[in-house]
Amino acid sequence: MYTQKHYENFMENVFDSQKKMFDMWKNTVVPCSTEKESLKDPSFIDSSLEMMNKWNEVNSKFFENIMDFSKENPVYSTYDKMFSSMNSYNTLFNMWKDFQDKAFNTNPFDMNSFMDSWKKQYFDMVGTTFSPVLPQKVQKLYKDSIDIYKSHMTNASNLFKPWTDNSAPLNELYTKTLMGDANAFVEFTKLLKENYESSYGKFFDIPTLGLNRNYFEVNLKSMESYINYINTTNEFTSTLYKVAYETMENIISESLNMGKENKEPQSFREFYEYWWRKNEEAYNNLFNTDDFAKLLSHVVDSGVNFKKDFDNVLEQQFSFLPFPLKSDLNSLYKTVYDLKKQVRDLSKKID
Amino acid sequence: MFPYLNIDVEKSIDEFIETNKKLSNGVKYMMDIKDLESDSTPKDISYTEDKMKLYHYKSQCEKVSKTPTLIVYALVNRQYMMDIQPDRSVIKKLLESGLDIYIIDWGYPKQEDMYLTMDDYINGYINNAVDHILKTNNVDKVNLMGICQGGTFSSIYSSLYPEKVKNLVTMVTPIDFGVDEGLLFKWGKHLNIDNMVDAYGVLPGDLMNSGYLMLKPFQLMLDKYVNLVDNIHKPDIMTNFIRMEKWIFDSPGQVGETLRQFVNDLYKGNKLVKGELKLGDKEVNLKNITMPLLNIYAEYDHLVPPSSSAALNDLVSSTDKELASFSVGHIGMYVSSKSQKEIAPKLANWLLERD
Repeated sequence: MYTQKHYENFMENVFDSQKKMFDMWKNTVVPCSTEKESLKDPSFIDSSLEMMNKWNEVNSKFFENIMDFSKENPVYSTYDKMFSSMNSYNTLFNMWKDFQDKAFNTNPFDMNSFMDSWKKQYFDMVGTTFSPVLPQKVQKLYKDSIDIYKSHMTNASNLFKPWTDNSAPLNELYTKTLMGDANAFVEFTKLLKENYESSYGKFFDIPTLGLNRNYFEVNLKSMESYINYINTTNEFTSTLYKVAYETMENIISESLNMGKENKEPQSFREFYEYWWRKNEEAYNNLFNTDDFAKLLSHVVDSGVNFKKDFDNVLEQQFSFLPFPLKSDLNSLYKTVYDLKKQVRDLSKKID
Repeated sequence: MFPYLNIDVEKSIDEFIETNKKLSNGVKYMMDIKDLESDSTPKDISYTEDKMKLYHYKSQCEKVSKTPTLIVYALVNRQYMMDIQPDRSVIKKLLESGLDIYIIDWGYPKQEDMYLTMDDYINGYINNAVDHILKTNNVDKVNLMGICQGGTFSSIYSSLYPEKVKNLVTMVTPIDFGVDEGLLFKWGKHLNIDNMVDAYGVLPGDLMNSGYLMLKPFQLMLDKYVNLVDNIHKPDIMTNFIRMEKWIFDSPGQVGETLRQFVNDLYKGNKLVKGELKLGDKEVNLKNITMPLLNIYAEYDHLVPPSSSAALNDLVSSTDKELASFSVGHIGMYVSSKSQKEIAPKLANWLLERD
């Protein structure tokens, strides 16, 4: 029911709002409009935006007050949504402006902190834009979903973090590799491997649950071993390529010098002899380093790990079939070995 | 064609055409090559145990040494390298010189042999073979001739059973694994052999071979075959080459537990030199080697550094000991022309002098 008090409040609010709006307009727009150049002035844009926001705020308040007595009224909710939308629109504008300011005016540009703040603002904006449109009972579900999504995004962000953190060096190394820098190729494969190990690689170690837990874990482990093997092999291969590339460069350079001294190979066969011996020497130097010995050991080890894990997968797959598995036979071999040893020892004692 | 080199293009084209001509004709020559059998010197099986066979070669001269000689080959590759072909057989040469030769053939281990240890090989198979020879010949001692890893085993055996060994000959034998030479020694120190043994049980011979090929990749995987084209029309050379090739890739698997101890205790721990090696319940002390010792190394050995072999002479108590070397490689010790002209005579004479 409408009351006298409602009516008085309404009129007070109308006058008050109009006064505030007029004051704001006077304080913001009028001083800036005296100079044409002020349109290019960021402070002008800020003050105009502030005015718009305040105008929006005042009007929202105004309608909130006048419609306070009829919250269930569809008119109220329409206006409410309208102003919420306006608010979202302004938020988006603020985000865009923030991006403009930081992207073009901040040096060095801190992409990570910008992305964090942008993400937060984006969630806020989406939340305030769509949430009010939904029926009230659904709004909680919507809000909770956003929270879950936020959590998911944080986790995803952590997962991708090594890749985003290293995107610049990876790009740089990749470009250098394309330009023929053999060192960059080695570093590139190393960085790829490190990124994998600190991101996707962790997926394979996630504990699994339920009846088929063991089955899934064995499969995941085998997949992880395979990827590790490929990564290590890539690193190994790139190390070999690096030597091949550098040796070819040396050969070209030396050949030019030999040409100056008239000592160059006289035929292709002579060149071939010179070529393979230079390569052999270069690889021998590489093979003699501790780093290579360790890398070779890693390659062998990762290959062996894959074999072991894949053997486990196969054993699991075939365990339902009516024939003995490798582990069964190994157990049998051990028993036979121990028994044979006992028999020999006893025979010697008898002799 | 080669803008940065003053290569004689005409000569290069001639070479190219000539090589291709040889290659295309090579098929015809290859079809005529007879794959002569290695390991053809007459012999009998004297004793067997599991997959191990002890062969006794038939004497090839009237006067034979009193002390039989047992050759202990490595577990890697096959023992018939010492009898690779009739005209270059070290065995044949030793027999002709008057030695009485036995040789151990380790066979091809299968998964069922995966748990055999160094203790089983040395205190078991070698000791049983020696006992069999002693009993059969009614003698107290044998000459022991160890090749490569077989030399390491023979040295260990001689230190554990000095009373059964009259003379010890070691050839291209790794003893000191702490030397800073040789790729195998360097790589072996970083190898996770436990993981490999756990995975394979018996390590495939091909896996081992790929490691050996990596030691000299361009020479062993490329140049060796490029040069072959030059000789493809020469049946003798091709026959010898194919026989060697067959032997190189005739690689038995390696028994896991034995390899585990060999790598961990020797390559990594260098326990033989430190006097810390144990086989079963027996401690190995090289100082127990008191019999005459002939230690031979190859000056161009890319598998066993000469300094690793040479170390043995300083670790034994023998007063009659000799360190000899030849300007050959690891395999050249047995298949080169020097093996016939210098090395086999040296072995025979040294042993006969101490018979």
